[in-house]
Amino acid sequence: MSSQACASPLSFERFVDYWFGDLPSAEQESLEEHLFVCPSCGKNAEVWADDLQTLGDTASELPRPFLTTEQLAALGNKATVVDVTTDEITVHLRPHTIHVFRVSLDEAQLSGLERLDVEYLKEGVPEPIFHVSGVPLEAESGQFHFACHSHVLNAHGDAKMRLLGTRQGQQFTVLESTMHVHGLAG
Amino acid sequence: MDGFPGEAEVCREFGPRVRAIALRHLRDRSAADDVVQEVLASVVVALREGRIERPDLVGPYVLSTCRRRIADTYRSEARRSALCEELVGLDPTTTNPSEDKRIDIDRVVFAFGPLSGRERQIVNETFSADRSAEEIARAIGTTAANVRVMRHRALAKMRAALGWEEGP
Repeated sequence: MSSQACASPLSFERFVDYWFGDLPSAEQESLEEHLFVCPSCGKNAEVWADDLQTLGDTASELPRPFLTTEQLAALGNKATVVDVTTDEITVHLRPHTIHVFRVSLDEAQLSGLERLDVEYLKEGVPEPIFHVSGVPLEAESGQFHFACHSHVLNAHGDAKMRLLGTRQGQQFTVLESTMHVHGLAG
Repeated sequence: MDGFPGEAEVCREFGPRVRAIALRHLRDRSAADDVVQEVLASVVVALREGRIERPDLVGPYVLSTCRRRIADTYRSEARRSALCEELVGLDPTTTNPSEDKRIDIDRVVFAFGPLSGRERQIVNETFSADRSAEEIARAIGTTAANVRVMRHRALAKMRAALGWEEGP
């Protein structure tokens, strides 16, 4: 079991594909077989597996920026609620405040909805500043509350919030609202 | 037993590798640790009884034992889930969370810093929503190959941000 250099070393990229099940099953099997006859690739795989498991454990436990109605009520005047009802909204920032975007969906929007994602976009930036998958809608009200700290909104300035629904496996825009942010002084 | 590794060497050499494979399939540290213990015990018994013919067959023997044990775990988990479904109010996915899942969330939040919005989305969809590259690709309007490339890049950036070294 001496460690020798491998003629075709396993790359991190290929291991990631293996980890997420993106290799054909024959390739997956041959990769596993290689790990048990090649100590150097085996050692790399041990480290990568632990790293990916740790990232997965942690990423799935990251706090999400959604508040229940009760959590919102508990914040009291520390939170400023902004109803996202029209294509254009104005947000007046208050320092050190949590701004909570309240979105209400009607029956037509909710009908057959399998999933809802929210994106925050900035003009001229090709990718969303952030994208959150699987918004937890409150069943009774069809509402959700999305919290953002004032300094984050201030840093980004005017932006666009887009809600993406999935119905019958197809994604579509449910709502898009441009936010005009009146920034914090200084 | 000429040329055969000692029992301690087998455990040292193959234990972490069995764990890696078990984590890949089970995504649960405590279940993976159980697999490691049972596989190594079984391999040691096989060595003592002379059931492994040649030293170069030790690795393949460990792997085949590992695959059988993982398959057993899947089967017993399926039986457990079916039983839990019969018991009102018991969700088999939420019972007994692993002790090992105590992790420094702040560090991982920090590791998301260098990622672009799209890369963050892909990492979130992969880990939190457990979506395949094909599903993510459909959702964001690109190809599965492109999702895989962005995922490789994102995970490499996160590992670098966390100061995790490349494999030895």
